[in-house]
Amino acid sequence: MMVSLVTETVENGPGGELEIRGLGHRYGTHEILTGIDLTVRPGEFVSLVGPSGVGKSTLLRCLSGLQRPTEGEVRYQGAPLTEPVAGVAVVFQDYSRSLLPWSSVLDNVALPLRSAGKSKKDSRARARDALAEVGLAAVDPQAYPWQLSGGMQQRVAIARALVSGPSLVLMDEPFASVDAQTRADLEDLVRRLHGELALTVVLVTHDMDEAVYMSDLVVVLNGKPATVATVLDVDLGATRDQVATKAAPRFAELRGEIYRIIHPAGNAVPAPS
Amino acid sequence: MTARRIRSVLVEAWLPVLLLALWWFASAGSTDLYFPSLSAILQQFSQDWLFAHVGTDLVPSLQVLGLGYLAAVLAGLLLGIALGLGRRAERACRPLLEFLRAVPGVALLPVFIVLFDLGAEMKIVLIATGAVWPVLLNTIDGVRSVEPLLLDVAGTFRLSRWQRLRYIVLPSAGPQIFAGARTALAIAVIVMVVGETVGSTGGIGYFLLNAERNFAITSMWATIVALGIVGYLLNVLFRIVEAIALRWHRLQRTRLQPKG
Repeated sequence: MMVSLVTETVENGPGGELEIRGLGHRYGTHEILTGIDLTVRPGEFVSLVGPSGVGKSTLLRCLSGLQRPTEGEVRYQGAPLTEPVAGVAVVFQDYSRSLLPWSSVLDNVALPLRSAGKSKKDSRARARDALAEVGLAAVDPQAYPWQLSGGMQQRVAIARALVSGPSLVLMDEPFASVDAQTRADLEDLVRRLHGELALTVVLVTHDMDEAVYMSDLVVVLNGKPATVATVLDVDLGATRDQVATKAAPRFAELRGEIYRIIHPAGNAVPAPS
Repeated sequence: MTARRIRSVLVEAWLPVLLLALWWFASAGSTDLYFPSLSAILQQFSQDWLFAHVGTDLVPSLQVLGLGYLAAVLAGLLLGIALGLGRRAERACRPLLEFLRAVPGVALLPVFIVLFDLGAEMKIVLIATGAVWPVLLNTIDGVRSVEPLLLDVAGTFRLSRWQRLRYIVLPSAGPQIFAGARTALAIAVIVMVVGETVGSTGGIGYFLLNAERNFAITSMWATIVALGIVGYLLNVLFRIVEAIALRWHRLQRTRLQPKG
């Protein structure tokens, strides 16, 4: 009895890096999310997908502690999460608004360390390492972020999220504002960092290809109010490749499954008569 | 100095130089009591302001101006931050602020003469109360119009209140605060001169009034020239401070090429 109980707890309880229990959220009388249950295990890469306006970003705000859900709770490493905590970092979609335009690239990346009370010198040294980690070793650290290209700016934002060594990184459509090639580069960068730094990642995206390509688990949100429609295990192996993975039959199957959940009636375009 | 720099100086300088030349020749040999020749004015100028009366009349005026202006900027900044962050307090104070702002600064002169006599304190307070408004109102607006996403960023990185203010709110409000401070500087100079002409026994404004009363018209014109030069130099000084403090903003507006 005891043993099975313990196993049960490990399966659903404190074993999760992030646990979402009966989460619901409403703005006034407008109910956005309801009855969301989800466990994210340490080191897992989880994508949240769903039609636009379904409440993905609201859910991510609840996970980051920026917003308290009106129902249910979020637990991070076993403790209730009611406000932003150390160990959880967020990368926002719009790098042009989320980086401080008046601070150098280096000081932008060093900001979380300054907030943690580290000295200016130590913060900057660590920020340089973080910039190198995201492939920006050659960028002038004294440049302002808006002097860099969009892809580089998002790399700066990723370096800023990683600089204080978080265990969980939340990303809100981080690649939505860059061109296709840059997007592929950034996807592979995040995949690599996820592996190297043993990060747990929750990625919000409206792009099904991206969700399948990046993740171990794809969580499909649907409905009004939105709830978890399905959770897909992405069995594509640990190594992903922009060409080979996306050409695999299993990849097409998975993205087809997601597509049918989000568009149940089917979106076949009739042939012209 | 690069060729580009020389050209930009020329572009700015040709009109003033031309106007001065016109004034010089048009007024040459003037016998009009009220409009003496420019050469006479400049001669008087070098007599009065290079540098006979600088120590006795200009420096005290500048001290009063500096203290009054500093008080205006500090008070506007502190009160502006407090009201910008506290929405309810701001709403409660807004009608009062609009009313006080609408009262012309110099209208309070009689009040301050009664309260402080004709000393330097009176002039400092007069300048401060006249010049505080643009700083205060711009600071409130600047503090309130911070990009909401940056406040989310501050939240997720758990910046303290003080860090939010230092790293996010103040830099963000910087351009608006400086715009207010620049207007305040112009007001401060005006209030200083008016204050000295009405309620004072010294200073450059008093010197100006005294020259007019004694029919020393050339001296009056020379003093006006001196005031113009002081105002111009103050503005140059302000621009230098602003260019250093808001370097990022200037570069972003002029869209310099990437360095990285």
